[in-house]
Amino acid sequence: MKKFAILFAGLFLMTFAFQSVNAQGPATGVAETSATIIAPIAITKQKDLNFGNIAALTTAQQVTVTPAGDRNSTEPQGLPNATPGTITAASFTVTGLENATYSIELPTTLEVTSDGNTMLVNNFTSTPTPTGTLTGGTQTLNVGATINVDANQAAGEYTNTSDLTVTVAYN
Amino acid sequence: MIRNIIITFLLSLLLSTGAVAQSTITAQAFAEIIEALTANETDQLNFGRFSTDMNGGDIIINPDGSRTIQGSVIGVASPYGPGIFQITGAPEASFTLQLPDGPAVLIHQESSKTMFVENWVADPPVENGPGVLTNGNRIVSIGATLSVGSYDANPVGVYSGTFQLTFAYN
Repeated sequence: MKKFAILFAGLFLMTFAFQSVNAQGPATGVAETSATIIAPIAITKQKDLNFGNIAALTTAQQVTVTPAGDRNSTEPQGLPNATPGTITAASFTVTGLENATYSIELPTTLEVTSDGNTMLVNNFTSTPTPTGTLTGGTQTLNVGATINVDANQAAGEYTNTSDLTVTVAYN
Repeated sequence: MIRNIIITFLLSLLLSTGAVAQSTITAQAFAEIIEALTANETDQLNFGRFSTDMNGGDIIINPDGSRTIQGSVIGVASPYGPGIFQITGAPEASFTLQLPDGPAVLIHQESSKTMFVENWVADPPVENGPGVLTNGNRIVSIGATLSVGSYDANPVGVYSGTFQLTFAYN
């Protein structure tokens, strides 16, 4: 909104200047105008979201990776301590106008598959949330989620089929 | 004319700054499901046949299958052996075994009289730390000690009971 205010101020200034030029007949005038172009907001990926190794159980479980990268399960025995695999929250770097705030849009659900077997990933959460602030023109945005593992989920390496898309926009 | 050009320029600035007011990126999501850990009892823990007298004694079944008798209990030739469990799961994953916390109670069906089984031992030994599922498999052998009472306390017959082992990925 601040940006718009600056641009409109420029338009008014220019309109007045040309009116005065017109009153003087065919003469050329130069009007000063100004606009502030703010740094575009940009997001780059640092890390993918990885739930690590999960042991299939005879009961269903929900495994959550928090934005801080901590993992927990509704059935803790589904998380092998000795061979946890790689566990990471998704991590992004957001850059743009210093001290600008921005909104964050996360996926609602996505599916991961392996050999035709699927699991649903949902409950995406982020830090910061629900908006971020570009202190110094940059901020790290971490995203976690929950994966829904069925009872006796087939073993395999699962990856997403639909995009894990994150959108940031200036407020 | 100049005004129009400048206005167009300003409008284009508006449009172009609007276009970079948001940014989108995609990432990947991964998870690896490893095989469920399963345990099947292929042989039951069996203390075999024996007789007792006024004083009773202990019968020890070792994980290696041997039987040791202490006190005034007399072993009788018969099948006996440790509990054998087949553990399957993810190749090379490690697992823990939790032995029963306390004794298991064996009950004589006719009289409801009891004997206790305790001092649980396993091979691979629990105190050695987690076992490894070589090629996704491991055999675990469970032994224990049966305390037998006097003839009066433990009349002739079959005694049976259950005990619980907990296997989990480490």
